Amino acid sequence: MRDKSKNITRLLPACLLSLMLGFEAHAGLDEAKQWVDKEFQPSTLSKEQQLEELRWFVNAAEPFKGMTIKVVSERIDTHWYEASVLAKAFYDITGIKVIHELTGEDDVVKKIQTQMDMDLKLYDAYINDSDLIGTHYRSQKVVALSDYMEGEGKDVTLPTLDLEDFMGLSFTTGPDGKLYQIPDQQFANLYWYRHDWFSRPDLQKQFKEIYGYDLGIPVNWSAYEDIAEFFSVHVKEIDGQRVYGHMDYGRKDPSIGWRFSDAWLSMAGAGDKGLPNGLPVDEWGIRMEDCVPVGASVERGGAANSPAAVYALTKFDEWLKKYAPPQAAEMNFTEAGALPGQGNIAQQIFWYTAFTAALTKEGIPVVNEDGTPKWRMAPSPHGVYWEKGMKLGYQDAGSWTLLKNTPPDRRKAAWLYAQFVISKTVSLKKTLVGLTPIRKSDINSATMTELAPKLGGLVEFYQSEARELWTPTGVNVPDYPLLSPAWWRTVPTVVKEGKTPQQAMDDLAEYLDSHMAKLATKEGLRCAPKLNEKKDREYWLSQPGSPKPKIANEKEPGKTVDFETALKQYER
Amino acid sequence: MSRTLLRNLLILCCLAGSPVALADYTILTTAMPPYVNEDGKSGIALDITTEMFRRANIKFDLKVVPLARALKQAEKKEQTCVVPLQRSQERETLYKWISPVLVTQSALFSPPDAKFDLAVLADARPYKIGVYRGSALEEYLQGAGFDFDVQAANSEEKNAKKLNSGRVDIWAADAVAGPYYAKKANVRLKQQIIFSSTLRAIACHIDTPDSEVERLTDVLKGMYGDGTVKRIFTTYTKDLDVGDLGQFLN
Repeated sequence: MRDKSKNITRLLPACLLSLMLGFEAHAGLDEAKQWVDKEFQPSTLSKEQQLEELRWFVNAAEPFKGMTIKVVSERIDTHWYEASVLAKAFYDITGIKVIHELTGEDDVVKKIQTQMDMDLKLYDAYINDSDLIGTHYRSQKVVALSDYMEGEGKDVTLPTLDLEDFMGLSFTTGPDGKLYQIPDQQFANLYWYRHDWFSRPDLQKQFKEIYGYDLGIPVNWSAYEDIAEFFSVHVKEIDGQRVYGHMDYGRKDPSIGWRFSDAWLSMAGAGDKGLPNGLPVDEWGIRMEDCVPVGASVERGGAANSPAAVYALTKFDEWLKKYAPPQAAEMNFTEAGALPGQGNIAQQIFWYTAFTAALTKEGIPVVNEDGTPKWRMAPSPHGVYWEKGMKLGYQDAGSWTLLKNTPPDRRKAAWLYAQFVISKTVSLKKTLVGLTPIRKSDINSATMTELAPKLGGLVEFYQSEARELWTPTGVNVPDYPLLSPAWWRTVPTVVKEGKTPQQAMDDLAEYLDSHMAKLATKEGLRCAPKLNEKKDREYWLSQPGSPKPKIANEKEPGKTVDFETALKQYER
Repeated sequence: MSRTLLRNLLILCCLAGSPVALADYTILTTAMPPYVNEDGKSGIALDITTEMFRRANIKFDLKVVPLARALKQAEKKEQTCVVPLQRSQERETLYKWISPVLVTQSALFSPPDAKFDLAVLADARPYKIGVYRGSALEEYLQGAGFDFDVQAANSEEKNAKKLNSGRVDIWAADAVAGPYYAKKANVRLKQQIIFSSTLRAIACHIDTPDSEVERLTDVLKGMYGDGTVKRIFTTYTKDLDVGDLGQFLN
C-alpha cells in the first residue's frame, strides 16, 4: 500500500472528448456508439462486441437511471481516468451519475474502516487495496462477490465479465474460497536500475575487477549490496554528477511502514513457502492455523522478530546509511519517490511500477531522446533466507469492494459502474492510460507487446510467470488498519533512535501480538486470532519452515543475470 | 524495602483510596461556521464534541485559537486536543485520534437557473470557479490537473455574491458552509456535484492514554448509533438548502 502522484497530461484529450459529447444525458446506445468510436480504442473486443457489451449495460441500468452513487479510490492515473472520463461515459450511457472521489489510499482505508466500524453509509462502493482481504473476510461486513453474482446481484452481473481473464483473483479470495473483491488496477514493486550505466564497458570492467562477477541484475541481496557499494563508494561520479548505488527513505511516517510491510520481509525470506503469501507463516511473520492467526513473535510460532526479519531490518538500516544519498534518512515516500527520475540513482531494491508513466516522460534525465527509458525494471533480488516457492515482493491490487450496509439498489448501481470500468470494452484503453493491467487479454495483446520497448520491462514482467510471485498482503493479517501502524511505530527506531534491529523487531512482534490478542475478543469476527502460548524461541526455530534459524553467513556469493534471464528464472 | 518500591506502594495506596480521577483536557478549535460558530461555544462539531466528553465524564475547557497555534499546542502539551481536524498522513504520527467527529463534503454550486449540468469534476473546466482564498479547496482545484479557472476571494460571502452577480459561474465550497453563507448573503444556489469528502477528527497529544481514546471512540460510536450526531447535524442544517447531505448518517 502506498500513494503516488498523478500524471494528468495524458488524460486531457479524453477529458476534452467528454466535454465535446455534451452534458445532456440521453443514456443509451447512441451515446455508447460515440464513446466506442472516439474513446474506447484500442480494445481487445471488436466494435460490435463492445457495443453488444454496452447494450447490456444500458438495459441492466434502466431501473437505476437518475440515481447518483458515490465511490472512492486512491489518486493514481488509472483512477483519475475513471473519475474524469469513464464516470462521464457511464453517465452518458446508463443515466447513472457517479461521484468518483479521489484521495490518498490511507484515507480510503480510514473511510472504509469508518463505514464498517461506525455503520455509516459514506460510499456505495470502494476501490480498496486487496491488502485488506484478511480484514474483509473476517469482519463479515463485506459482500462476498461470488455469492452476490449468483444471488442478489445476478441480474446486474455482466455476462461477459470473464473472471478467468483477471490476473489477480487469488489476492482477493478469502480462506473460504470466496471472492470478496475484484481488481480494478494492479502494479508491482520491482527492482529498478540504470540500464545505460550497467551497459557501459568501463563500469562493467571495473565492477568485475573488484567483485569478480558481472555487473548485472542482482539475483540476491549480496549482489545488490555489492552494486550499491560499487556506485556509492567506487564510482562516485558519472558525467560530473555524484551518484548513489541505493535509494530508500527513513523518516518516521506511515509510508515507511507500508514500504516495510509490503516487501522487505518477503524479499528477505522470512515467511514460508506457498503463494500468494506463505503458509502457515506469511510475509508479515504472522502464523495462521486453518484461518486463525496464532502469533507474530517467534515465541508464538511467528517470524516478525526472527533472524530473517532482523536481517531484513539490518540491511535496510545499513544500506540507507552507507549507500543512499545523505538526505534519504530524513525523507518520506513522496520526497524519496522523485529522486530516481533526477538521474543520480543507479538502482533501487524495489520501486512501484505505478511510477512508470512518470519516469517515461520526455525530456527528463532518465529518458533517451527517442523516448525510450534509460532504466529498466526487473524482478527484485532476494535475501539469503528466501527459497524457491516463496513470494518475492509486493503487488498492489486496488479492488472493488462492496459493503453489506449499503442499500441494495445503490449497491447494484455501484456494481454496474465497477464492472463498467473493468469491462473488456474499456480495459485496454484504461491500461494504456494508467499502465496498471488487470486482464490477461490486455497484457498479452499486440498493442501492449508493441509498446513494451517504451515501458522499461513492465510488459515483459506482466507477461511472464514471475508476476505470480509478487503479491499483496494476504489473509493471515486479521485487521490491516489496526495492525499496520506497528510497522511505522517500530521500524524507523533503528534509523534515528538507536535501537538495534533485534529490539525494533521485538517491539514489532509485541505490537502485533498484543493487538491480535485484543481482536480475539472482538464481537462478530470470523476466524478471530487465538494466540499460541509462548514457548522458548529455540523450539520454534528448530521446527521445519518459518521461523527459520539464523544463517551463520548471511553474505552469500553475489549473483547477477541479464534482463532476459531475470524473468525466466522464476518460471514454474 | 527499596525507596522506589516504597514510593510505588504509596502511589498505589493513594489511587486505591480515591475515586477514579479523570484528567481535564484543553480543546482548541477555530471558527468555521456552522461547524464551529463564531461564539466558540456552539456549532455542529462543538456540540458533538461537548456531548462526547460529557458522556465520557471527562472535563474540558474550550478555546478558540488560530489553527497553526492549535496544532502546535496539541503536539507539545499533554491533555490538549484540536477539533475538528482533517486526519492526514502527514499528521498521523503526531497525535492520537478520535474519528470522525465530522464528515464534511465539498461541492460545486451554480445559480439555480444555470444552463449546464456537471456530471464529473472535469466538466467544470470551461467555467470560472470562485473559491475561498488560501483554503484547502483552492489548493485541491489548482492541483487537480484540469487547469481550472480558479478565482479566489477573501470571504465565502463574497463568493456567494460573485456567483449571484455572474462574476463566477461556479462556487466551490463546503457543502454545508456554502448554503450557510449563501443564506446570509441572500443568494440562491443549486448544488451541482459533490466532489470530495473529508473525515474530521479530534486530534489529541500523542501521549493521551489509549484507554481514553478508546473510551471516547466508543462514546462517539454510540452517538452515531443512537442518532445523536444526526440530530445535531439536522439542528444546524434544517434551514439550509443542503438536500440529502445527511443521508450517510444513521
